[in-house]
Amino acid sequence: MVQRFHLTYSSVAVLHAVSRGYRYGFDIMDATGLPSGTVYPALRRLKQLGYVGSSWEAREVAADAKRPRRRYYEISKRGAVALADALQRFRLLNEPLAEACGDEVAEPS
Amino acid sequence: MSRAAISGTVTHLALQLSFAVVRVLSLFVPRLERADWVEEWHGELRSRYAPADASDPLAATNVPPPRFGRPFQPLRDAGGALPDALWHAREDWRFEMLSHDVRFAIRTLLARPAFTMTVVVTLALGIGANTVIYSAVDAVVLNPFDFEDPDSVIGVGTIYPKLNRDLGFFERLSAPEFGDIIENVSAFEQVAAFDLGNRQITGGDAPQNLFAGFWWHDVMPVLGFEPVLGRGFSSEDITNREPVALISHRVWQARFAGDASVIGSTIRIDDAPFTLIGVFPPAALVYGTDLWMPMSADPATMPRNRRQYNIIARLADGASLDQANAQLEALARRTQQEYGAEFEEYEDWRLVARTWTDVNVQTLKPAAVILLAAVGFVLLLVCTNVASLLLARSAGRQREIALRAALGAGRLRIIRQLLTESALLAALGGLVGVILAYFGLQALTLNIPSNLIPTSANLEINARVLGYTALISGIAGIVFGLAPAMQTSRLELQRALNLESGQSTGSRRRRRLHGAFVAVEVALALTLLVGAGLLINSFVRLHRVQPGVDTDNVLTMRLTLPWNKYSDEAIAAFFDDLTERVATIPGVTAAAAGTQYPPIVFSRLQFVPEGAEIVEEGSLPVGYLTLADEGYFDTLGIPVVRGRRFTRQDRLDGPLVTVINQTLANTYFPGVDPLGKRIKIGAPEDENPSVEIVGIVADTKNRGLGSDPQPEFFVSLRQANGVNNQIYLIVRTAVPAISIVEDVRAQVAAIDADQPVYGIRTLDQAFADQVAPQRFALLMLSAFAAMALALAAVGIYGVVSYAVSDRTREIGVRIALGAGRREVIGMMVRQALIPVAIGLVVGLGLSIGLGVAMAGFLFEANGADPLTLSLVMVVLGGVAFLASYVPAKRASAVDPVEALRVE
Repeated sequence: MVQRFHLTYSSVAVLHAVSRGYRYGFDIMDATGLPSGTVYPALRRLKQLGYVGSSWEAREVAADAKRPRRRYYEISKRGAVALADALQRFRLLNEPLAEACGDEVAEPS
Repeated sequence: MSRAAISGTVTHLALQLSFAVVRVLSLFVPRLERADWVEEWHGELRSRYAPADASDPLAATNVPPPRFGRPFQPLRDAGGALPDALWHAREDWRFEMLSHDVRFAIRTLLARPAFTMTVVVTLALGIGANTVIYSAVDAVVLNPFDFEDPDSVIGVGTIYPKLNRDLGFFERLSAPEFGDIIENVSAFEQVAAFDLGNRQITGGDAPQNLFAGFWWHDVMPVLGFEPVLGRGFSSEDITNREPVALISHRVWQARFAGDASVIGSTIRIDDAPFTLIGVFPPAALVYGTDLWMPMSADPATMPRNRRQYNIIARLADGASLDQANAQLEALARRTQQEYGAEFEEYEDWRLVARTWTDVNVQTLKPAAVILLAAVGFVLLLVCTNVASLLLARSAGRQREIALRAALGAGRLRIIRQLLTESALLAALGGLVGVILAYFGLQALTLNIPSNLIPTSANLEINARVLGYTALISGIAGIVFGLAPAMQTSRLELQRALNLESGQSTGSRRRRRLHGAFVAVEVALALTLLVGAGLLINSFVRLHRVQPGVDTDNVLTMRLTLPWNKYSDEAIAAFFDDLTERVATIPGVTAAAAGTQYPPIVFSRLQFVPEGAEIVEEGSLPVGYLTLADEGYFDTLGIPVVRGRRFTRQDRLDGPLVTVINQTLANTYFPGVDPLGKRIKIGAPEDENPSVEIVGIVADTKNRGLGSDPQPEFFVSLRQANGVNNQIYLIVRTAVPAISIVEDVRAQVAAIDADQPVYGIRTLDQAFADQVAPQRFALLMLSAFAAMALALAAVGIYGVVSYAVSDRTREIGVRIALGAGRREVIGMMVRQALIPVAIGLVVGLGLSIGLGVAMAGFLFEANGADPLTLSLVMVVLGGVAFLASYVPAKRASAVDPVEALRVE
């Protein structure tokens, strides 16, 4: 897979966070500890690569929760493959990352 | 307020600010995604830092307390929107998009070749002129020396308040003073003193006079050079004054045909054998000396006041010029304490270090600044003209732009497209400008006064010059492109799309911008014209000055008689013989000899007037001393006012006499008859005989046309006993002076075949050379002013033409309603002249500022000369009137029927 070479450490971290269910920008920032200036461009990039999709939360839901509606990000199938591959490739990075998230490496589907 | 409350307020403000930041940044985000993008960022920021409507009591309980110490966190988080926005914008800035813009711009420009050519040529003239002037300034003022680390090469000069001598660096220090500097100034890593003179290379084809430097300490390490060939001076060469010599690269090429085998051979200098040990590189020319020989003196035995040395030094690693100056200042004070009683001139004297570049070009800096500013004004005018053209053209592109906007192009995007076009125009203008500059530089090299340029300076287009050109081209592109682009991109979409082709919106705003351009052009042109006018005025005055000598048909040339062949009375005898022989040449009416002549009298000496009080409190009597023979005054046409001139009877064995000029008489013998009084030549402590004043001659402009006559006294060459061996032959002719040069050479050769003559020029030339810098500045500034006048005229013409075509319908209606054609012309001209008038007023202010800045350059001319100002305003006003009248006349030719049918 050629595209894996495009994924930087922070992109992998963001993708990983999304796969773990951290679904909106600031949540991902908290999960990864990365600043907004890193997380957002990474999200745009992952979206461009088709690794994540995004959708707006329904207005009613947001209104009920008394907060602005959110844009949620979701990992795609291709994203999951890429993530698994990336975690394989960056084994050194993978371990602390996996540990930190309490995750076992996903199998490629 | 509690700390938490304060922190909360700050966070609230920071949040509001961060919303604004996101909004501004959203401009980078493509329009289609912008709303979503803003909502996402605002939403995230709001839910983090103001999670709920504070008015809702239920939600308020959920507000987490603001984290202390981080009230600006919202701003930091919002800062992340910048890379995010740029990530979105990068689509727009991809290379393909840029290249698309460029290709589109090329097509647009090619579609209007006449317009493009006009703009490129105009720009090229402006940029080319700037490139030429900058390369001259770079070569002459900014980087005249190619030394290793040129800022570390230092000259040392002196100020003697007691002798009325301002800061000078030329032949200002004596051997003991040099010795003191070597010992006391640790900021200098290397110091060399040198003396200058003329020497003859004899043997070979023809005797040749070379300007020579005599070095006390090797100068190569000071300059940071190695000899091109051979070696430099060793310390033994210096201390033993070995008969060894280095020659310049150019003499090696010209006289020795670049033959490497001459190193080690013997050459004859002033008829004595010297071993040629090396060739120094072209960049090492110091004051244009071509021949270097070692020299040294014993500081302990040399008199402190025989000041004939120049000093050049290299700063030690890590030492600064300030440190050097501090050490020199301390040294000067110690010297004053120690020797002040013996040498009065040490009172408050100062030793001053400057970079060698400053030493040599300091006086040219103001001229360089004025020329750069003037040529910069020309470029500004060019930019204004081009902006005006672009603006006029943009009217025809209104629909194109509107269509692009309708299809989703943002304003930034459109401005970028338009700026790409102007950048392309600027680049083309810069390119053609450099080519023009190449030829301009050739022309400049022929016209720039050679005595202005250090001999090592190279007038060329180098990397620095190209960098400067690129810079000004880029700035020009923005300057002339931005205003039209802003104006063009600001449009009311609906109206623009509804327009018929050929019509435009925003006429009024565009007209106002056009008016502003005209005002700027007029102001700039006025300023340049006034600058040129002031210089012309000053130059004319300078030319009206009576030089005090008769400059027509006088030929001068210099001879340096070698000491080892001619000494004592033999020097006067040689010139006796020579002047007699030269007088027999047909066409020669008089011949004389003297050590210097106006306008450049340079040898300055202290003297002591006897029997007269010293009038100038606090300063010692100083005058210029000229050695002259009995024909000197008549040949130059200097009248004797009282007493007598020298005669052949004023011999060494007779009573010693002097002739003084009027200024010396008035200054040092006020109210006394100086005839019969005596003066002692030299400082009071010197043991010189005194001489009797036997004559008073009229003043000459002995220090140049622009200066007042200075005190000067003359001593007979016969009584000088050969103290000076560098003497001018001065010949007055009834035929063109330059035509007898070969006859004179023949007479010199008849006496001594090995004796070269040099420095051949007419007295007219000498006076012309002396005002060459002024003439050069005048020439350049006049050229710029002429360019400015032409540009302003073209600019006004263009704007009025455009206004006429833009308002054809309106004019047609007016005529149809009964307006006379003359009224129509009058209206157009009147409207055109309003910005001209504004420009004249603004320009007047600028001109007065310029006049003040130029005051130092002007000879007896006031910086705010009313005659110059009013003359220039009349000229410019007249040109502006013509430039608007001619196209306005076309308005009167509008056929109302045709004009109304346009729609």
